[in-house]
Amino acid sequence: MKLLQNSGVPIYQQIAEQLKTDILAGKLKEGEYLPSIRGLARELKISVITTMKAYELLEAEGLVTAAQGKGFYVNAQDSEMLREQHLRRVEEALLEAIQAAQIAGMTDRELQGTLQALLGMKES
Amino acid sequence: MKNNHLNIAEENRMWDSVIRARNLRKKYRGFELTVPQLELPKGFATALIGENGAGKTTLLNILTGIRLDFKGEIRYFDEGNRGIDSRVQERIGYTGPGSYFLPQWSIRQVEEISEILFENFHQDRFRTLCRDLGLGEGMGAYTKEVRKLSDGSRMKLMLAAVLARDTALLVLDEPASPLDPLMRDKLCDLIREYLEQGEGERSVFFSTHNIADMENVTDYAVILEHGSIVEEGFVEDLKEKYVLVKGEERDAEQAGKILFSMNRSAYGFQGICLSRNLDQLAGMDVAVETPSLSQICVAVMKANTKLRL
Amino acid sequence: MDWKMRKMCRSYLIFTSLPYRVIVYAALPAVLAALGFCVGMAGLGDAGVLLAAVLLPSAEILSDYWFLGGIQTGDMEKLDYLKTSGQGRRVMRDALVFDLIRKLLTALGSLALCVLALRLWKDWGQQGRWQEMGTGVLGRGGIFDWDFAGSMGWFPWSGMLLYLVLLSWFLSVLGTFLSRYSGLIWMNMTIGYGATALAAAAGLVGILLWRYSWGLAAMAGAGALLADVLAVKAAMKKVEESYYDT
Repeated sequence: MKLLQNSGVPIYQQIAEQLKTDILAGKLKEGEYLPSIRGLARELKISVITTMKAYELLEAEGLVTAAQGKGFYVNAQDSEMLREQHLRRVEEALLEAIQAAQIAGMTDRELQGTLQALLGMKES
Repeated sequence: MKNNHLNIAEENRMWDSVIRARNLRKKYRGFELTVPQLELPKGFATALIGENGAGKTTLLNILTGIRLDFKGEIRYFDEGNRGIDSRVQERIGYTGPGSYFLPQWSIRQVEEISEILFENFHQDRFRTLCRDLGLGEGMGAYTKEVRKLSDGSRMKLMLAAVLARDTALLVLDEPASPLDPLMRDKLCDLIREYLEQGEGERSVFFSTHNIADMENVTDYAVILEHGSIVEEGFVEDLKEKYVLVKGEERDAEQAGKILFSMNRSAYGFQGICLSRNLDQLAGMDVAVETPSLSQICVAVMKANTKLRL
Repeated sequence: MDWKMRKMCRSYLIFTSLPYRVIVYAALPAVLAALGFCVGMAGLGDAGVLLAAVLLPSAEILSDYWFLGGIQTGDMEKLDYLKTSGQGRRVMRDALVFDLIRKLLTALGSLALCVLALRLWKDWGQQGRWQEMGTGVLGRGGIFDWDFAGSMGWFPWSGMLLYLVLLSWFLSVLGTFLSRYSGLIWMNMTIGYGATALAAAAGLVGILLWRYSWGLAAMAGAGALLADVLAVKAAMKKVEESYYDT
């Protein structure tokens, strides 16, 4: 796990983000336990509360569940929800692109053109 | 800037306390420590932050039973019994800057007295720690006297003695000050390791006047100024409670009224303000960032020092 | 009981350094016994034992000040490591008590060594051998002038010896107790010499009243016990005060 101290993104968010990626990519499977909070804190050389907050963020998103005294385990990611999650990511990324396009003064048509061109590049 | 995350600590209070103190008071000539309430979360590392003379050592001495001349109540480990007794002391490890070991003790004798003083002291663990911390090994190192050790090594020896025991709480008075940067990093590792092994049952309470070195091991912060607690909370909550604001020079005057700690330069200003006061900065061209714990501490300490100037 | 004694012994030993142990447990008794023996051999006979008994208190008081890690040096009562242990007070009390017992054993050992050496010397001399050594080496030629054991009889002499042991114990304890209140070397020396002078006077009185030697021994014993209680109480009070503001 790579953490950037001064990226502007809080550490707990970086951790949550990376774990989320692992879960959505299926690297962390259903029912599997996340590393213990204090264990991960030690490994990453960060405070316990930061790790805890990352885990609670994941819990709030429904990706993991806290088991009393045993830690956090990965929830069943039903395909519907998984797809939803992915869709949300796509939306987020596109939104970012739209914002950038606005700053650059691109018209909607130009933006669509760019997207199409990129898709074409990927296919070939 | 309204946070939609759960406030880990304050709202649902998912934590037990390892120490619960009420109405602590200790008067000296020209100084008074007054702590109406203090609760240290169990399973976490808590930093006691404050200037020299803020009363940190006094507070720690009261909590560890080195000082008994105070008013107030302290409960340990959420047990019914009040105050400190030998059973409680057995579970607390303390290191401090005062006279601690007899200067003429050799490391071997420190080991011996530890065995006499504490039932839960493990000789083998002590030896391993001495070796790992670079206090040397073998007979030669063991005959070295405490008075011949540097301040840093003395601190290491205290840590070895305390970590060689099965305790539930470490109270460390300025553990980082005598250590070099490398060893400070090691100290943080030791604290994290200690917490991990406790699986939520072990806690650490340490004081420091230089929080930057210990920031990555601090879960809960208590800021002490002139004998009173001026701010406390889980670090992640404090980082949401306060924001770091940066802006242009032309807004500095206006912003100064809202920020309670500000640095100005020819290029602009930078300061800390309460998140809930952020909308008062509306209309100014400012950038907002999450502050570091050190930035928060310095701001809070400055604000409270100002009150008395 | 045995186990408890061992624990006390360990608690005590931890407050003493190696040089202290060598000097106080081995060198001190040896030197005192040797001094007493030399004086006795030089002609004063059993009076040599008296000399050893008289010198012991000041030796105890001064060694306590000097030898690093003697139990009363330093700020033993202020050690945070002891104070954060529930056993701290007990360890300190045990150490103090054991130190008093050790002082008694030192007095007993030193004087016993001296008496034994003198008796052996006398027996050897009576067999006529001392004449062979020639006379005049020490001026008087090894004449065993004062044979207290012979003139008093063994029973009063044993009481006398016990009296001397307890007397020097009493003064050692009292002296170290008093010197605890000053960290100044000259004060300790004054107390040390004072104890020796007192011991000398009390010893001479003892010789004069030799018929009542057992009674004197009982008195010295009582005094010593009183001084013991006083010494431990005072030290523990100091320990207790260290938890509070002075």
